[in-house]
Amino acid sequence: MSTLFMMSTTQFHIVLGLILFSLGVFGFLARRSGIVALMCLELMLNGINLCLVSFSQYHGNPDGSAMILCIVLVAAAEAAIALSLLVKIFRKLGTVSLDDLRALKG
Amino acid sequence: MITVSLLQILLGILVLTSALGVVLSRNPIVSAMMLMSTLFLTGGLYISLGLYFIGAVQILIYAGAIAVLFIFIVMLLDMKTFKMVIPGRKIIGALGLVAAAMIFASFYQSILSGQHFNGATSLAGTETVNAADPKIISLHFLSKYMIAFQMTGLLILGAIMGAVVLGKPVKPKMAGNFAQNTTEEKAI
Amino acid sequence: MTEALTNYFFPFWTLILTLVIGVGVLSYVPVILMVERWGSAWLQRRSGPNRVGPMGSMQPMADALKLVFKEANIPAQSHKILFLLAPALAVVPPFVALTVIPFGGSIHFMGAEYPVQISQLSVGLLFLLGITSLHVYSVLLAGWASNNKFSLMGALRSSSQMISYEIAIGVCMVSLILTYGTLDLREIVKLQEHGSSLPAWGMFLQPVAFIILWICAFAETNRLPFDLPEGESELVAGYHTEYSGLTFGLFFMGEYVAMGVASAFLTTLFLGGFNVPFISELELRNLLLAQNLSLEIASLVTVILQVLAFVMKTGFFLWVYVWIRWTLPRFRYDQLMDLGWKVLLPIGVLNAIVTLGVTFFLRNSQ
Repeated sequence: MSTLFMMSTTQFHIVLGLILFSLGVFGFLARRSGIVALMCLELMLNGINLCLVSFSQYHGNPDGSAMILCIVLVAAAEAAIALSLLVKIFRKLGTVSLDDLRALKG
Repeated sequence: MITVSLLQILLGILVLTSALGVVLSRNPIVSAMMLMSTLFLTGGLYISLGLYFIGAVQILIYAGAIAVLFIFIVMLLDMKTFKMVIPGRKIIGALGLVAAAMIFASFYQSILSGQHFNGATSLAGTETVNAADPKIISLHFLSKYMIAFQMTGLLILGAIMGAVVLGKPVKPKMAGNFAQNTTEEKAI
Repeated sequence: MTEALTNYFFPFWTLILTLVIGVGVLSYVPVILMVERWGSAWLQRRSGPNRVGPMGSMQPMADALKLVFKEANIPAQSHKILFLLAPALAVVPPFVALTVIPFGGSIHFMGAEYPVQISQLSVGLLFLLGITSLHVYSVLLAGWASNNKFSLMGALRSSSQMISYEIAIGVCMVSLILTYGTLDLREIVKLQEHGSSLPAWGMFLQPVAFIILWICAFAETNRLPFDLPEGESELVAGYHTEYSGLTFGLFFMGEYVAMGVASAFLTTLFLGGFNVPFISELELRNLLLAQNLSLEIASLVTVILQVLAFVMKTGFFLWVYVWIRWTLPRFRYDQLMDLGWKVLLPIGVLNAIVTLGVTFFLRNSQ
């Protein structure tokens, strides 16, 4: 526990971002519902944002913050399109379970 | 070197708990609310680091718009509690866990194993300049990252158009002899 | 400002201010209830509450007691945690939004300055916008967790209304940021200090943005004429149909506090905030110092006058809220969405472009 308090902010946030990213990867691979998979995608992006923040503070540069803003905007656009696609798929096939969406498989 | 404060540790623990809630919960609405909580608390983490602008933008866009979109879609699709009854779900879960652990270990090894981030908090010295001031970021966006800025704008425009097109209801083609009279619908 | 932040007394000042503002807001709720009752009675030419105490002044207490003693039942098939979370999410964001609103100038005490604002965030405007957008969650969760078709319909209508008008607010923010050049609410208030014939208030600098934001403030707090989600004669009671007792009381209180926060927000941006009109803070303090008062007492009296000015300006907006509620009829849902997307948004964007041009030319000509 004392090592936790002795960590520098940079290390702490990088580790936190990596744990968030790995949790997102686990959720993306293990959950079989399309919407939850998209939510885990957002989790992954957030983990990366945290790492970028600590890098940006480490170098004293606003580069990381500019990248974070771009990532946030891209994530918003991607969430909009992905969710519209999901709604269309649901209307057509009646399910969003990733196991049932295998029409492209041979 | 600046050590973590108690507030940051607390926020970190709450962020991880919410992320676990997203991944592990059965009800998709609870998942979406946990996502909102994760995004909000991450914004709080940015604010505790001194990056007020990024934190405010995170709360505004992520927690205030994207998570709302997720909840809307879950309500629209009227998904009931999702039961994972696929055969082999334990194996898929275990494989996912292995993949996540491998990714974490490899990134940890590559980023934090060297002497880079161990002791120092910043290369620039002990005083971290608040480089995330809105003014400084905007100046950079208009000079150094102009292309990224404009491309992001175009991307969002494309996303809006795409979402509108994808959301249009499809009119079923009516069989028969009568013409499809669209003027009647507009008179309402 | 920086000396105050490293001052050891500053955390206590923040705590005291939090308690004072919290208690102030909690005691403002009965007042606004009374204003609503008596104002509506006056507008409708009938007598207001006059049974429960001298001139009906104990009416809010009677209301509160009734809500406490009513049964707060939870529908059987609902998701209990989300059902109980929704009123909490309705009450907490408005209180959080109060932390960045500047209520008064700075009190000088023993060589340090103590500003009457709980948190001097440098991006207060954006933070306020973000916290307002969290208000949608309470509506969505209330509608969903009620397990009731009417609630769900009301919730979807209300939340789509709220996010549509948030976009118009965002576009107005662009023109405001261009005009003021800063996101800090305290700086914005300081910039509206001077004025010769008219005070340099935001109302005169950005009239279009003022009107658009005023209309959007009505839409964000679900007040008439944007009342359809709560439509009393249309959807039973919209998203809070299934709520009774204390849970409904929380929604009720959350709505009134959100009204207060929206009025305070409009005051800060457009009506000069805590500035006493036609006189700047420094002049006021010097006026008082000339009467041989000490610096502490002079700054205290200045702050009291400023808080009074702020309260009066906010009170004006609150009165207009009540006035319009009992005057205008309700918008239909498609009229509402048309107004938000097809009228307010284009006008807001046009206003932003015009502001951009004017700011550019003014800055170049200096």
